[in-house]
Amino acid sequence: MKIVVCIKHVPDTETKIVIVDDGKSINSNGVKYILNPYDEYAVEEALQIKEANEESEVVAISVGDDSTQSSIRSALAMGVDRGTLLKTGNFALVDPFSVAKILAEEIKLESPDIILTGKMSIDAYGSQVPGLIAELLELPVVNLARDIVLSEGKATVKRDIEGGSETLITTLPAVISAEKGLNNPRYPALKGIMQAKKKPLEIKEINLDETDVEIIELTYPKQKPAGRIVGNSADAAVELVKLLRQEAKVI
Amino acid sequence: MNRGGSFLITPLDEYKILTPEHFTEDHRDFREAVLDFAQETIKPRANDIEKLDESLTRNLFEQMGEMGMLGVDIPEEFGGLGLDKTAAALVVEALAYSGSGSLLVTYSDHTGIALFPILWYGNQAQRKKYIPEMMSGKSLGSYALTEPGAGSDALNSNTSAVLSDDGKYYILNGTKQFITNGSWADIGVVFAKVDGTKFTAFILDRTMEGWKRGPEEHKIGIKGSSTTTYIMDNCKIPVENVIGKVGSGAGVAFNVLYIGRLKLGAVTMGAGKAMIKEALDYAKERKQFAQSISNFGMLQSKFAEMIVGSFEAETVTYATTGALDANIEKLADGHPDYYIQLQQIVEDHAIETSINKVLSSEVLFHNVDEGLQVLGGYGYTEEYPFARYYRDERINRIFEGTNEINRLIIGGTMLKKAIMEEIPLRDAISKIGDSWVQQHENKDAMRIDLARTILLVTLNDLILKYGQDFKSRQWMIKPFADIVIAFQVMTAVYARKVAADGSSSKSIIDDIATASIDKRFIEITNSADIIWRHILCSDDIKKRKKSLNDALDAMDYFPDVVTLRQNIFNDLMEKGEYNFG
Ligand SMILES: Cc1cc2nc3c(=O)[nH]c(=O)nc-3n(C[C@H](O)[C@H](O)[C@H](O)COP(=O)(O)OP(=O)(O)OC[C@H]3O[C@@H](n4cnc5c(N)ncnc54)[C@H](O)[C@@H]3O)c2cc1C
Ligand SMILES: Cc1cc2nc3c(=O)[nH]c(=O)nc-3n(C[C@H](O)[C@H](O)[C@H](O)COP(=O)(O)OP(=O)(O)OC[C@H]3O[C@@H](n4cnc5c(N)ncnc54)[C@H](O)[C@@H]3O)c2cc1C
Repeated sequence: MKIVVCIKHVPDTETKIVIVDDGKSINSNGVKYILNPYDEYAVEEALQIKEANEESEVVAISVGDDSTQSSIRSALAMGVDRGTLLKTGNFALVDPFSVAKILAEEIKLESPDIILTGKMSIDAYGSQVPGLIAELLELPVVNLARDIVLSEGKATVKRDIEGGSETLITTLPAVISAEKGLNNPRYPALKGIMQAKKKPLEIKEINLDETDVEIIELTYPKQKPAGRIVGNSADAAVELVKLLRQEAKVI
Repeated sequence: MNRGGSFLITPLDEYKILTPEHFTEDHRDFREAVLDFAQETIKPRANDIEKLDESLTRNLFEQMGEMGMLGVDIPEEFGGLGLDKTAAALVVEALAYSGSGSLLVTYSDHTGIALFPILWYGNQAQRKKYIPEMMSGKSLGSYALTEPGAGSDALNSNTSAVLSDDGKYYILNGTKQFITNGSWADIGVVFAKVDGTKFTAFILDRTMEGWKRGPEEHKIGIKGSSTTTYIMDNCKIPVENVIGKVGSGAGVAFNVLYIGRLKLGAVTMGAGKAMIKEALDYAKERKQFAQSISNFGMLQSKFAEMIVGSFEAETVTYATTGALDANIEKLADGHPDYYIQLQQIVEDHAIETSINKVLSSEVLFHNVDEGLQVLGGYGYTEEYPFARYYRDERINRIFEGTNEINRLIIGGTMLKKAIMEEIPLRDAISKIGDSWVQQHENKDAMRIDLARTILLVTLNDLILKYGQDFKSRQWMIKPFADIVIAFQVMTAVYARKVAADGSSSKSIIDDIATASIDKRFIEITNSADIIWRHILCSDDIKKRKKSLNDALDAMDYFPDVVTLRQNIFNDLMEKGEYNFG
């Protein structure tokens, strides 16, 4: 069985983000990048599928720039067999549709039995790529998987829905995106870290066409206004409720 | 070969060490991976570990085994990773960021003194039988040397071993005291005297009858690690479980302690660094007098001091592992005496491994104490982990040789190396005249050269006064060992500063180096003064002081240590944690 995992190199949530002067991109200097946490679930699932099915291969592919190699190496250290970096000139400006197109081209060449992704990337929150890839490849897509069981060329996928869960069956190949809780991603073994450096990582230069989507502006989240003390007496409670209702509109 | 103790006489400009700024990519990646595990998996469970939860500890050990953390410096043929001492130190210092002193003690015991007797002195059958299961974390090891009447004086053992009539077993009787992993261990290395004289090491395992464990000790700290007695009650150990030869136990017992100290040094160094961030995070949030307490100079100076101490401990740790690795690398793999030669390299660095242990455990003590102080009254409560750190820290200055015993080793080994001419100290001493001034373009370097002169002159004074008997003059060994420790710190810190040329941290490393060298220089002159006043006549004392003062005048160097420490604190505020290299 061949499994392709699409992964993304994203800023760590604990990193302090600085928007550069053009107002459209972030300064990546000093920013710590990691393998997108939702993609870690996808990688782990791929590895578990591989371990359960003899002669399987797991390939990680990513659209990015040179620095993206470190996230691909992280996936290789976890146990992925090989990686492909689809290297674009200006990664920051690539929109989800272009990413999906680039990935879909590459996935076609691999012709895998299953394509796994995270449900979204923690930087852009797009959640678009899995659906777009599936559309471009004319494959079924199931989002937000919490459990995946493969048998006889089909995947049984459990996912959460409002107030409960649903179980779907899809033919393979299919695109399945991973929700938190799908599994417990393993830590890379120290040996895996060493071996990862020797595993194949192919770099393919991608010439980007004009993108259809353009970033107009990036802004910081609004600063939380300072708290206000309404008063100390019992009357203050009345005032507080009034303000919460009328001003803050939270109750 | 770069001999142990060579920092004492290698000209400063030729003294090169391994520094964190020059770690390999693998080293850095290991550190990241282990840090993640320590902080995400161990740290949230640190309070549960304190309940002496055996199954939790075993579960964590199996995970560490899977990740390869239990055998970093163990050959691959026994299930380890076959990496160097530097990688092993990096892994354990990163694990120390978990803040679980208990787990770290269990770990250090298991991967250090419990394992190395079998690796270094065991035969191939013993290694194959016991090491792989220890590597996987499925078996826990232990090392049982101490007895009620044999603590620091470990050879004063009352445990007896008698060969059975059929010649198949040794029958052991006696009590071992304070054995780490005591109630959990599946395997133990235990020491006993055959025929009342021949001190010998044996491997115990769960299958052997007569191996009993006493109740848990009620300890100040590391409450989540097991410490019990072992009662050897006609314990039958097959003759094939003798480690090495009958009568060779002292070498086994003591030589693995060098490795133990190296590992304990790395653990305490890592833990000391981790304290800084924890205290700083609190200080940033805590407001008094309408501002963050991190604005207050007295607290800033505490943080600067913690950084300097941790920088020293880190630098000395990797100077030692780097020197060991450079020597070990040259050994021929598969040579029948490989482990003997390896052990000799480690033993040759006895001064360094003792310095690592003493320095790092004392830096941790300082950082925990000052860190707790930063939290004020809250640091004193169990709401915050500093109370636990405070309890856990204490043991490090007691086991793996108390810090007194380690200072004795430092002084005694120096004396031995000088007298045996293992390092040409005599020659260096003979070159010193009345003038102690030596020119160097860098004033920190001039101070180090001056400190070296003080060290050598003082050693010479001590040898002239006491000869070999110096080793029993503990009133003098203590200040002398402190001089040696301070001198190793200065030289290593200076070498690191030089090696940091071109690194992005260069300018702050320069400041830390100057602050450290300044502090250590003052310590050295104080300790030397204590010795001189005790053993020299007043004319000689005046002569020494004149030479020293003339040299200081000629140097004309007064680094502003307050500004240096302010810079160090500001750099910490920017980074948010101890982070160099
Ligand atoms: C929690 C814990 C875990 C331990 N784990 C192990 C273990 O796994 N295996 C094991 O074998 N042992 C273990 N030990 C024992 C430990 O190594 C000893 O406690 C230590 O060696 C000191 O011995 P002692 O306690 O008998 O103290 P003593 O030797 O009685 O020392 C008391 C004091 O006298 C000083 N002193 C003793 N001799 C000298 C001297 N010649 N010169 C100057 N000062 C001296 C010491 O420095 C100390 O301050 C452990 C101890 C503890 C508390
Ligand atoms: C066991 C215990 C018993 C106590 N009993 C009593 C009691 O009976 N009655 C009572 O009223 N209180 C009591 N206290 C409170 C105690 O007096 C306070 O904990 C103490 O005054 C410190 O205040 P804090 O804990 O808020 O620390 P903080 O004031 O937050 O101090 C934190 C750190 O910042 C430093 N710091 C604060 N301000 C400055 C500054 N301006 N310049 C430099 N450094 C500064 C402090 O020295 C400390 O290192 C008790 C506390 C404990 C733990």
